[in-house]
Amino acid sequence: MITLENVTKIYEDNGAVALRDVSLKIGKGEFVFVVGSSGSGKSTFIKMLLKEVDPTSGMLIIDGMDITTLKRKEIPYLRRKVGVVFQDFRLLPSKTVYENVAFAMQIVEASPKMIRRTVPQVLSLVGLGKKGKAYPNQLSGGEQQRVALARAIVNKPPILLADEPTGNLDPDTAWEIMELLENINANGTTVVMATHAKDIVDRMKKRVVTMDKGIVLRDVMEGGYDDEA
Amino acid sequence: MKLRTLRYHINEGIRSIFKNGLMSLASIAVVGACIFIVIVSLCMAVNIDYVLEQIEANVGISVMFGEEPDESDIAGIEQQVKQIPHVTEVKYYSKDDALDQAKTMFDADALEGLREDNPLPRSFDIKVDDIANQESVIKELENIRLEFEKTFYTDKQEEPADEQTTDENVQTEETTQPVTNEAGAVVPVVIDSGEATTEAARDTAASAEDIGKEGYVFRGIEKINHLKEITDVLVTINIIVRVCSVILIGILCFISVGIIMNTIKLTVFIRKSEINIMKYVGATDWFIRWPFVIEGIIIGLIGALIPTGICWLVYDRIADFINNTPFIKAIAQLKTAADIFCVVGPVALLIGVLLGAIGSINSLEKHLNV
Repeated sequence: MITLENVTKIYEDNGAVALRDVSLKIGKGEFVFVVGSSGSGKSTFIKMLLKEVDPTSGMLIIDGMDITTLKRKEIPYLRRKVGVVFQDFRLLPSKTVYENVAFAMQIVEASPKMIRRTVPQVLSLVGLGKKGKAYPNQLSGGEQQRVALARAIVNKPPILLADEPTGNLDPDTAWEIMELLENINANGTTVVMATHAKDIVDRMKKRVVTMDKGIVLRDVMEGGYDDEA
Repeated sequence: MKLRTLRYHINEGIRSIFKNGLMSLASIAVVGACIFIVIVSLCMAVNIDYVLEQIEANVGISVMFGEEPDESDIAGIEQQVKQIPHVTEVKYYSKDDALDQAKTMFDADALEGLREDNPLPRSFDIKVDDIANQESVIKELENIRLEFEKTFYTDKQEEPADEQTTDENVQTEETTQPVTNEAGAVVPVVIDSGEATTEAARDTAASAEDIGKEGYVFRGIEKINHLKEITDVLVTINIIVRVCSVILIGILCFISVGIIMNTIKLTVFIRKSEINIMKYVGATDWFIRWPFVIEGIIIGLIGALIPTGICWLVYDRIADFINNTPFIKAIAQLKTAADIFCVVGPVALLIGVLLGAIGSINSLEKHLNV
């Protein structure tokens, strides 16, 4: 589903090497944690999957498509294949919960009928069936992240990226979000989650890719945060 | 784009105008102010042009006749005048015609008393295709006049210029000089001998001018009126006005786009995170642009409609006043509000729409590169 081949990223402005000759394969339906300290290169990795930054060298293939050669005009179509949630939720504050989710469907020009049918389904899937009319600032952090999750999966993307999705949440709420992610993964979506949350990684027993100074330090199936390779 | 997507964009655009109420109001005010100035300059330019056109049309050449030439002499001269290049129209006014015309401008009843002993001269009103050619036509007219007067007085140079003699003169001319008359009537002769005539004319031109300065009253063609100074001034004003209004409107549009871009940039900046989120969810650039463009267009339209409406009402009053004021209306009329705004209105709306659309597209570009 996601293949990195000898990917190197050097930021031109300060010459920092964010990724150093990284090769990695993530299969369809996998759940992968990407862990590492700040500056380890995991943020660059996530950004690269969204084509927010381009590799300096190497190849990056997502869903059979070499995205390093993607034209600017084609980026939106890549992003429709890759749902994404962030630490800071990034909801549209002026839109209701329902509208925030429906918005993602309007972008792909789904029919109103389809939107009316799908959005409530997805909202109840993330446990917000009754909050459709609320605005983001009326919700708790956990609820806001659920809205973001609903928005990310409403178009049924094959890949879901989660960049520190529990970073702003208390442990209980964080765990609820993890359960949701696990459900989504169980339905066939490939989930890639960058995180610092040691307890969550240890408890989930999923594949863990540990990065350090731009290289893949460890890649362990059913691993933990501090596992040795 | 699907129709429902268009509807979505329009809804978003309108919603955003209300949501950013103050900002929208500011943008509308800026667009409105700019378009107001554009409309005022357009109205001025169009009207000055129009007034000049009327004055130009009125500033033809008039040739006035003394008492002596009879109708057949005048008919001969008319033929000659019609052959001058650039002359488009020669209109003859008899004494009665002149009086009728005067009656339309002055007190009709008082003038009616003059019918019996009419002091107004017979005249030609000569129209020239372009005001720039007036001078060459006048030269030709002077030639015709000199030629005519030379032959007219050939045998009577020493005659005192009183009424009696004049009558005799006419008769003499008719009877004793049929050649001249013929030459006057048969135009090609004059044209063919053009060079010779000019030569002769040049000789006499100086003396004719001198005599003119001394107030000598020509018996044949009394006067050629052409108001050269006025036409020169008009042509200059016309050019200045056109150049100035083009420059002014150009500068204003430039400034307007700048101000509108800044205003919309501010709106875009406020919604930067929103645009960012849209990009992450997979929105195409145009999907993001459309609501802003529609917002810009609506702001531009409202900003154009308000000054157009105000200017229309005010202009209507001004035009009404000027076109109904004696003296002024005799010189020139202004275009009616309907006439001018059926052109200026759409132009203003178009400028508003373009300003809004260009402003929003330009100010968005930077934020779309995510």
